[in-house]
Amino acid sequence: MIQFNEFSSGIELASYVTSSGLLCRTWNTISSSSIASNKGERLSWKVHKEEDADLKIIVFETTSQVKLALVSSLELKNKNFLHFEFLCTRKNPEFQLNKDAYHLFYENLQSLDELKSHVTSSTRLIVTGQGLGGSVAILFTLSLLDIFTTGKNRPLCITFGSPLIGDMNLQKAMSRSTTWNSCFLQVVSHKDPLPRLFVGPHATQYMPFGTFLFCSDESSTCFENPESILEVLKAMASIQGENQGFQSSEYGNIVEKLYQKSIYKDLLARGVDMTGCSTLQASIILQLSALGLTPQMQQQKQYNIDINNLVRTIEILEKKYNHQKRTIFDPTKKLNVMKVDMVQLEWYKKDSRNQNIGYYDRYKNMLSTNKFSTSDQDVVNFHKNLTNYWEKMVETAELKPQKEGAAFRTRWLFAGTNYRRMVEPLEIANYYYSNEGYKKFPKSYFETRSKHYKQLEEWLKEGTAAASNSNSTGTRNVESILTFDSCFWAHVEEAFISCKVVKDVKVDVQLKEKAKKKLLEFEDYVYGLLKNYEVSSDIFLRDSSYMTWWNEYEKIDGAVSHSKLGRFMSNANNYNVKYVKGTYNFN
Amino acid sequence: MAEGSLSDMIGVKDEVVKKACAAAVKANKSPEKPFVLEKIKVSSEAVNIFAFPASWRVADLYVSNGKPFGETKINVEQFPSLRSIGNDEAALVNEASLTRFQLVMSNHTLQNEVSKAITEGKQIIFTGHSSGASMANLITFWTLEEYLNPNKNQHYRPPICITFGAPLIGNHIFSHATNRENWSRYFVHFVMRFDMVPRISLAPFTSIERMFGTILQLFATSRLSALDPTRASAASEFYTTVMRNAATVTSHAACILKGSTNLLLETVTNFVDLSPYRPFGTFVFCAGNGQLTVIRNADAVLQVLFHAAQTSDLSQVSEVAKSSILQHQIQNYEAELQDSLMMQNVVCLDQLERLPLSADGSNSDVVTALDGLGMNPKARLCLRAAGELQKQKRRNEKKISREINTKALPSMNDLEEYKASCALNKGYFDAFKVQKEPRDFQANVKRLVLAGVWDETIEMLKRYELPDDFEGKKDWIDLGTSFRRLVEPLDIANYYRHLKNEDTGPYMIKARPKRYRYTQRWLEHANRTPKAVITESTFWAEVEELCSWTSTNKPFEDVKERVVQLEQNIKGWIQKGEITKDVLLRDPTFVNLWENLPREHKATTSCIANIIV
Repeated sequence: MIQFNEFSSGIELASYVTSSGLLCRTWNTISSSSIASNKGERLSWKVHKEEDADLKIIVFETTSQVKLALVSSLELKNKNFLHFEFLCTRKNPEFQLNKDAYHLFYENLQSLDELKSHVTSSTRLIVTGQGLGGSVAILFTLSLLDIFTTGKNRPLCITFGSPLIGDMNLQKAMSRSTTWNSCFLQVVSHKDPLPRLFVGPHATQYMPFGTFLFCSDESSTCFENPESILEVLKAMASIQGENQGFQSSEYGNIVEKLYQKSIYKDLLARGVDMTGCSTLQASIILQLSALGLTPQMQQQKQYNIDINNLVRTIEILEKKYNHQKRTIFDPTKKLNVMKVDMVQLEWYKKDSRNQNIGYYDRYKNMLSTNKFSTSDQDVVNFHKNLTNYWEKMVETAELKPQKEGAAFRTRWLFAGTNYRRMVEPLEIANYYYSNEGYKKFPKSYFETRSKHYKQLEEWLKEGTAAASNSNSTGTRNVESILTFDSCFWAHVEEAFISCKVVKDVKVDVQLKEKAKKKLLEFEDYVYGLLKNYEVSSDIFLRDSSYMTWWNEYEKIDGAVSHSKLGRFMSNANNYNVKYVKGTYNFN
Repeated sequence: MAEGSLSDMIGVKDEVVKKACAAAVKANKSPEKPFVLEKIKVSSEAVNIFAFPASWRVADLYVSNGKPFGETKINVEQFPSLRSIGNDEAALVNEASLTRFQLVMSNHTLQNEVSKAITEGKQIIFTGHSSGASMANLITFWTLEEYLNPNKNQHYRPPICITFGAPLIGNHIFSHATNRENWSRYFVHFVMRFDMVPRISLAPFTSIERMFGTILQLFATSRLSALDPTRASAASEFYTTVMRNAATVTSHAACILKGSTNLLLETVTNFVDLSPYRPFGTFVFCAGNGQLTVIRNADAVLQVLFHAAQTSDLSQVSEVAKSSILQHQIQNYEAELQDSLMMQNVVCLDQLERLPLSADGSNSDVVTALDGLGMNPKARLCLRAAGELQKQKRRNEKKISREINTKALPSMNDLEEYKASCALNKGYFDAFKVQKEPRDFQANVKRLVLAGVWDETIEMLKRYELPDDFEGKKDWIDLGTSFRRLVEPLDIANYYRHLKNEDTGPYMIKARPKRYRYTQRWLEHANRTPKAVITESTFWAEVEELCSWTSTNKPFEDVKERVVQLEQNIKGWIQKGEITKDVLLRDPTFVNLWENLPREHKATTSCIANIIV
């Protein structure tokens, strides 16, 4: 829902989390010494079960140090470590992780896989750790996402004062799924130097993801936009300095205090005149005040910070971020509109048939004679609209993570297949008969075929291979179906070109032989389709491109006398009656 | 921001409010009686006040039913309006209150007195304090359902419910439904700024169970002014626990009000028990200094319930905790009302989206009211968000309205013409199924245009993005009904044209779009008619199903009941003129079915044989 007055709910989200007691519960498990700890390589972990609450908490601990260096996911792949491979897509094939965090994970891989095997999506799960332990918690949770995609009970990873863990491509990969990002909550004290260790001019590659809960002694607030998070981390660095005195154990006090304070009235932005402020500005002023970044600092010289400017910067970032989130392409919204265009084409097909012509040939004739009636012009538009829609649609599906994408595709497969079979013939006509395409560069259609058609066809194959109970044989109503192979007409056009080659006296023998071979292949191809009743009977209409080709092909000396297709085509009764009724004996 | 007298704003005379409060005091004094009836005259008008006593038994406030908040689904037979219509979602209600209510209702004197008062045209006031208020709330709903439903020819005077320190007893659907039925104005809830009882059900029972006994005792002790140390510490613990849970619920609600898209909210919610209870009706907050603040927006009320009772720091907890107990006492309400009604210092917070965020000099009464309830900038932003959301819902309705006017209505006209032009032949159901003529195809295009507009509307309803009163508005119900009656047969024809029933199953079970399910429910609720299995728009699907059955050679007995039912429906529609005999006899599918029915059935059982032949 688009709101006219924008708000930012970070401060409410923080109140929600801190007042719920979830952070205290998690920290108590971290600090508890009564839970048995499992020792691994430089890493230990403990598992705590709250039976009555149906809750499991896994804590990671390490005393290792963390350094700036990153490692590429390609390197992981080379080591045959594929736990995070599901994050990669064709568009975003590589990301980088902090090397030290990754090593801790990798060195303990076997034990962690064992731990992972005890996790089921039916138990509520919190994965946590502080500092570098939190980084391992993030990696462990990442490796779980693959299992949890369908379950509503997704895991929650809570880190306390952990350094950033990956680069911008990892952040991008995480934002592909609407739910992945929501599994990560990173608690950061404004005094803790570790979370901002990889922020600033010396570490430009790192990018945060998930939600950050920043806290001061007074209050807390959340940010989700990675760029805003970076701004806040930088601002904290500039007023807090190095502050080496911070002990990570202080997080216990911090979360306890925030829990206690959730019922006290905060004094945020007290005395600040917000008369002219938009609701978004006011929200951001409150959020920054919660972290001790108050507008009063503007005048105080000991702080080298421009708060007003920070408010403006974050306002712009938040607006942009919200806008992006709202305008994510949602194919469901336009599906009904697209259905209308499909119905229009269905009618075009039917109407063409009533005029004794296939819709492919009608479209083709229109293009080659360059005579457009208004209804033809409409068809051109439907064709355009549908193609634009499905190109986007396929792109969106490809961006999705593997499993989520697969589900997405199943839902759209039927409509997509229908679209491909209906519209690709028009695309083929366009390619061979408009002034763009073949006339400019005489290459076959298959060399320039649009990616989205290929993708749709591939998904159908994957889908039916999984189902495998398709009733591919047996007769069906071949008058009303769409030809299964959407490239059928491209094959016809190519065969027609081969015919010309064979007849052309100027062409040398070798090329002719090649063309003849192609024609024989085409014959087999058509016969195969007919046998399975996968071709619309439209192709046998008197002036269709297919019939024109056949008439040309027949004239070639000795070409067809013995072939199966030749026998089938020799009698009009075979294709006009027997094929339609399903009584022709193809064996 | 409206200012004026309280009676102008809530539509109840001051005198009535005072008398109601006095009656509640009286009822509390005789808890053994199920209710107290006061027959009075206020400026020559007869008023009957039914007051229900508060109960201080734990079992009357909470029953353990496996739910952390003790809620249960309301019986929609008894309360047909307490649900979301299209979504077909019944309201949740506190089970302990409901059980106590059923007990009170089993006493026929109450029902008789109510019936007498209402038929004699007297103004009925239901009132109560604390858990007595829950009884007043539920019986007001019951009376509204019973006497003010659209099937009643007589126009009775609506009852009014006035409560003091009422706990929350229902989920968000209470507010959604009261707004839809336009009943919100009949519920007036007075709440003292720190009174903990209206916040109590925001906490899971187990969290307050330990000190609950002590607290109830304190509530029951009248004219209490000081607490001994043990009780004071119980009070503090009670206050902090309830408020912390209130913080969790209200900040969660605020995230949604502010349009948060961060799904972390959802993830965390899997680990947190969130109270389902929400306020409904009109709230009058008493600041304690004579100031009264009227708020009608339920989302805003929830925010105020939390923010107004916050304390400024630890040092004040024990003091505020004490107030949170003492302010609940009915004597306190009585005294406070005495003062406030004399002062008439009343502000109504409407136009919430324009509330000042900080002191700005103008609108001083509003600022004083906000300060009087301790609304800091954070709280004010939440109130603004609540106002903005409501405005957004109105904007969404306008947008839908434009879509209907520009896209849907022209298509409806075209389809009406299509239907008329096919009527001379085999009818539009069959013509559409055969899809032979260009006009059939044009009709299909129109069908899809309409589907687009209505699907969007239904999606918004599902997400509660339209105003609460949407499904109760006559205009929308009429539009939905004519759309359903005209277009659903085409959807059915399309379904059976593609033989989707063969692989997917019957239309009614597997494929009926929500746009028809919802619109049917709207009409059924508006007329308070029971849920129909077959309707005038879906009987085509039943004809198709029965028709495909006749081709299977299975015994007639298998479907006999369905055939008889269909025939009875058809008879009814023909008598009401909703369908003509011609329409049926022209349709080949129906004729096919009719011809295949056993001769014996047609000769003896069929109730339409004489009409058809």
